[in-house]
Amino acid sequence: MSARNEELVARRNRRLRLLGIVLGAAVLLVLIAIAVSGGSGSSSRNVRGASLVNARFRGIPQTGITLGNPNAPVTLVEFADLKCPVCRDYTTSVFPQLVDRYVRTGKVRMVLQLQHFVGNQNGDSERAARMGLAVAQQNRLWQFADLFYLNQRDETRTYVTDPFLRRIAARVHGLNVNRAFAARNQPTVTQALHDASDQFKAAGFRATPSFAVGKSGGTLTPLDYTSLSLSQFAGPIDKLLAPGS
Amino acid sequence: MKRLDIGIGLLALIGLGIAAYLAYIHYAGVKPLCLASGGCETVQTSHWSKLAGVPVAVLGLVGYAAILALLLVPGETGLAATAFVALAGFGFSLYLTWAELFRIHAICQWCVASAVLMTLLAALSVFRLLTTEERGAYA
Repeated sequence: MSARNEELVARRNRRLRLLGIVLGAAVLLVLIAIAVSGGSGSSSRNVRGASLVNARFRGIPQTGITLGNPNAPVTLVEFADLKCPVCRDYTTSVFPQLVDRYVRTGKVRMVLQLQHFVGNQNGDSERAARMGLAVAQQNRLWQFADLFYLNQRDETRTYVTDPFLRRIAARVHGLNVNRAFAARNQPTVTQALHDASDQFKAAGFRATPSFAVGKSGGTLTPLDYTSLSLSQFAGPIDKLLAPGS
Repeated sequence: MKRLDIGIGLLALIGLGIAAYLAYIHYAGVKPLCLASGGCETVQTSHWSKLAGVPVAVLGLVGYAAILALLLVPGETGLAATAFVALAGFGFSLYLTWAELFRIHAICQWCVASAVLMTLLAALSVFRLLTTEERGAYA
């Protein structure tokens, strides 16, 4: 082998070793960057339950404030306040079971009518509801509400600030957060807020969460419950779904 | 300057332009020009748009500027450092593309363009590292 060839081989080997070192260092740097980002991001790292919530609604159609098959035979309307702790309890206990049993199977469509009177000091509850309705314009209200409940705080405190809402909204997959923020005070959002409140009062409800259920397109009647257990909700729904009902 | 260096330099310049535009969008708070409906803004306002509080666009800006600067560093140090930055940029672009597809569920064409540029830069800079002779001639 000539001196020239030996030199070339030696250089190639040296460069390959160098490439190995460079590659290893680059991989290490990227892994550190991913770890620093928490596998997600920075400002909203302390939002709980994002993966769970986004997975829960994956594949279920959503239009505005409605979740599920638009042609479902039964409709369940929930009147809830995002600052209401009992609404949170319902959402974390019964709601996921109802979604799996009835919504995912196309039997029930759910409608969420957001109220704004629980812990509404300094307009806190209204800010939450407005954001929810603005998010509904992008058909992601249910993820937002679920995530809000999982990160809900003491209802007597004022905590629904723009940074708080942005943290929650930023974890909703596919949501344009800026667009939702910009839509919060639109007349359509204000109108939807008033409509929800009017329907709540017209049904004679006084507390949240309250529910109305019935055949889709027909008259809905209040669903009375005494505890947050699946049977309290499944019973009336199954009756409506029964053949010949 | 060799053709490979010029090619890498041009790609890095384009990347620098894209990153500068995205950094401007971030700080000016304006909507990015986007072919798809809102995908760019969704990505730009998601929590993935920052790394430890630093906008990813700014990181891209630094990365492309570093590649341009390192092209001027002579010897194996310059070759290795350019490859290192380009490979790290490529790896991070892969991670961000994964986040767009499977976490944010929105695609930003500017980010995709940057990812493509970083991929090309990584390939070219590795080729440059393996083939450039000490004095600057190519094998």
